[in-house]
Amino acid sequence: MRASVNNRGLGQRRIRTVTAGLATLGVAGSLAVAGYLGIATPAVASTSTTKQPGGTSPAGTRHTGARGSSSANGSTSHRRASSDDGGSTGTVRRAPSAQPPVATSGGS
Amino acid sequence: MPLVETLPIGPGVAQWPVWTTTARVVTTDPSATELARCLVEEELAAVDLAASRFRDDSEVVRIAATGGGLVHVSPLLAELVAVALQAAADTDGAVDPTLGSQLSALGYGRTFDEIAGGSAGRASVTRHRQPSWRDVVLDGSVLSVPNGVILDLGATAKAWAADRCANLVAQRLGTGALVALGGDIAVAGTAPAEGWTILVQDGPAEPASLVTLEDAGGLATSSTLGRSWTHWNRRMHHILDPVTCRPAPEVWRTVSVAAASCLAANTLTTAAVVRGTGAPRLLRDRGVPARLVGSDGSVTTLNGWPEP
Repeated sequence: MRASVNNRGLGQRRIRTVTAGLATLGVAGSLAVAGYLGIATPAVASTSTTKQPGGTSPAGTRHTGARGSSSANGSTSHRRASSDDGGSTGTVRRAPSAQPPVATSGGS
Repeated sequence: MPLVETLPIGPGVAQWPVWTTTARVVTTDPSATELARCLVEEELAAVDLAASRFRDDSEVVRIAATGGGLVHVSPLLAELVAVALQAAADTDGAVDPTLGSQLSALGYGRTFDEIAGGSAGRASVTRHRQPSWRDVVLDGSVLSVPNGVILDLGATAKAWAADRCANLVAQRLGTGALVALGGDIAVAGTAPAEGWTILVQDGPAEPASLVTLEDAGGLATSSTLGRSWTHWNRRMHHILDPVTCRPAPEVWRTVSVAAASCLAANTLTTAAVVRGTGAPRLLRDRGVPARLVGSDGSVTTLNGWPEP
């Protein structure tokens, strides 16, 4: 049985969402964090449209638990999980029993 | 022993202990594995210095000592806090990063190896109104944490780190990459032809599910079995219900989710454990493939997770 699910949801990002407050992600975020860490980062393509989890909030972005985050343009809503977020999809399917696992996911 | 430690370490695989669990890096290009390990180790060291509750020189510990004032934080910690606040908002507070003090009071104030090796202490949990994630303010690089709060970013920082590392390895080394940090797995780059095969199982005697991830994304498992200890003769586990500040009732002993990122997956698995009986509805509404193992060992799958 193949069970492919378009699970666009929480945390998915596209480069086009870089102005969405928290979601300043992808290349810019990677470079910023790498710069902070003192890591020499080679140039990378900036045209990817796949989601880029993680990244760096833009300077001046304000996040408060009580009032939500304010993006650079002054909007004040927290970004909520949505099935319309876009981004690449995660797909999970049954593996052939003969296929050896490369990793395990247990409790952590 | 975590199951991951029983897997073979062949070409294209690096594995080492970190954060009282196991890091495992798999690259589709075996020649990239060692460099990938170096990259991952650097990233994890930076995250540890920013967010560990268990070292006096970390930023979160130094911030806790400021007594609630405004503090300039590193870009990395700002990102980790922002991610944690987002997770809290996305789960209506089920995943709350302000429970570090409560975890410490319940005995989880040291690394889990230290807890397992001795007494968990006898401090009691205060029951007055606790600050919550809503009381944390992050304004750019300026952070304010309520007095008495020690941030516990464990629920999101490890998953974020897995995503970050997998993407970094894939982008910089041009290889398909899987980064597993305990139960948190992120994949990036071009997957192997057969996909990334992952054994989802919370111990040798637990029900198992063998699945593959085919493209970039993540898979996370949260458990009440692994990080548990005894405190005043009561069994504790590390996932607290922010409402009670006690370990969440063990409706589920293991919850696994596949999502577009490990962070998204871990946020939902943690929230599911906290929500208890409300977990299936939460996960169904989010549309993510999920697998829940009940306290009686029964298995529930949702949203296309392969049936057992």
